[in-house]
Amino acid sequence: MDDKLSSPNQFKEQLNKFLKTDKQEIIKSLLDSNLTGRGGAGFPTGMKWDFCSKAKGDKKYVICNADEGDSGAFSDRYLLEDQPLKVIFGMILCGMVIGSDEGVLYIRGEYPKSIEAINGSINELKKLNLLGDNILGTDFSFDLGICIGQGAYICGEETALIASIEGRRAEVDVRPPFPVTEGLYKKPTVVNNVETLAAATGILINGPEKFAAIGNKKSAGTKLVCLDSFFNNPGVYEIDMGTPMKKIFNEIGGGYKEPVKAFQVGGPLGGVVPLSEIDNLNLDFQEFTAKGFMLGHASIVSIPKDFPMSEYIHHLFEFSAEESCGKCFPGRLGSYRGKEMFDQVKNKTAKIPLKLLNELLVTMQKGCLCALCGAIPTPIMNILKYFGDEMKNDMVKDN
Amino acid sequence: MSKNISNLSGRIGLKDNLFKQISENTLSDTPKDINEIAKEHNLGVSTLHGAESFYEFLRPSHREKKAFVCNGSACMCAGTQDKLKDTLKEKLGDDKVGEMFCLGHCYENNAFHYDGENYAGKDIEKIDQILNGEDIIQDKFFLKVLQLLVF
Repeated sequence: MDDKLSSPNQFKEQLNKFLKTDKQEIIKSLLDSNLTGRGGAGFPTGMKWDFCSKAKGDKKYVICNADEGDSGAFSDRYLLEDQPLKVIFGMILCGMVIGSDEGVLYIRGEYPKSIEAINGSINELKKLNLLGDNILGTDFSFDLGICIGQGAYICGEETALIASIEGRRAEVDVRPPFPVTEGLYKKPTVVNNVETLAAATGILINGPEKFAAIGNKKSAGTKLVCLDSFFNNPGVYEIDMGTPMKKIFNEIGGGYKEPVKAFQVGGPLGGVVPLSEIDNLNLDFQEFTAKGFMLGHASIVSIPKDFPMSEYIHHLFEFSAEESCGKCFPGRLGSYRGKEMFDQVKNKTAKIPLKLLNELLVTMQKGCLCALCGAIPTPIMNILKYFGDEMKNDMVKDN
Repeated sequence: MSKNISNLSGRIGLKDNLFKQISENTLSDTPKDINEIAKEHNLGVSTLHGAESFYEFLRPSHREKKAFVCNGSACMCAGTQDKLKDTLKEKLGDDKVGEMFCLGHCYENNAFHYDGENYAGKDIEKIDQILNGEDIIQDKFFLKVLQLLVF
């Protein structure tokens, strides 16, 4: 993250330049960069902006998904609080390209400083005619506001986020139709993650070649990786895709303060990677998926050696039971039944019925409407595979 | 059904959107009956009630509490939260401390939310100042850039 966009003057200079740039050139730049969504879903950003620009509609919207609820993740928080102009710039350019005059940042209520920082930036830009009506004296107008999340993790899912803003119950919707054709108020909408918008800004200002030159076609450019307090050097790092994970953990992270046995990567729905597998992985979306894990938003939660894995599984089921939107029954019932199973282990009233647990996990994976309850089996299956021995005394295999 | 509601909500628009109206109303000191808001916008009251009841922060059980400790995976693994919760319960009362999932301070743990602000790391040592309404200086986290320049 260089310093080409941290002051309103730089903002004005760049915006002036881009207001005169052809929209197709902007879309081509993003397509050439191979940028994919940084929130976890990984859809090509250039394609998304392109589809939405071609969608028919008298009104379109740009939404920034700033509902970063994953534990271990604070990269969006960093961008919102320390580099808000990069995020806002990305939104304005998106608005220009797709033909939208209105956008909103949906920021979770658990991030009060982010809300304050973005509000401050929006007000400052409005005063300088860099937001609002007829920006810099041109025909282009773009208004920006904030929506404050009220404590629902599922609002990080784009259709639930849209439902939330509309004042509907924030339940996940079936796709298709996708938001690029039928989004907010059923109008064409681009929903992008905070980091995606900041990355788009960087690519457009510096040129797509530098980004595309790093990593490979499907996992290109750089990624913000969050290292937690178990590392000697915790914090947010911008790292080249393709970097070996052991380099990230040992050299950049400085190694661990105490013995660690596994890492949950990509939030509560992300895979649990045992320490032994770290040597075999690079920072690459496809590599993680191929091995049964998930890179997602690239947050790292370290699980220390003496932390009981059955307690960790309980935590995951409890989380999905609490945050489930309740719409689909595999999610609503499955997460709750899973939590009950591990409540019993915690209270020592019953053992884990392994066969039943596996059936439950497969049911949830195949039957859930979205990744909240649909992907929670991923880390749990990883734990059963790699740490089954640890829990064998708490398990009954035949039932 | 929801297409109709989306369109009706679209008439209200994004600036003063329906979600904002519902949440600001619930959180205000003198909330009006959501029946009134529903009538104003030609919506069924069940739609508004369904939305309002969805959110953790809008529930009475949440609003009765004063402080919330982070119960995210990172803080949980770090083992800092039990002691933190006990300290806060001691100061505020057993029934006044709840939980919030991940406040984004995973690099330092000991995270909690009080009176609209997040605190973490060593901030709990200044808890008396915080409860007195004083501003405290908080540590900022850092970013290191790995390669010379990409963007």
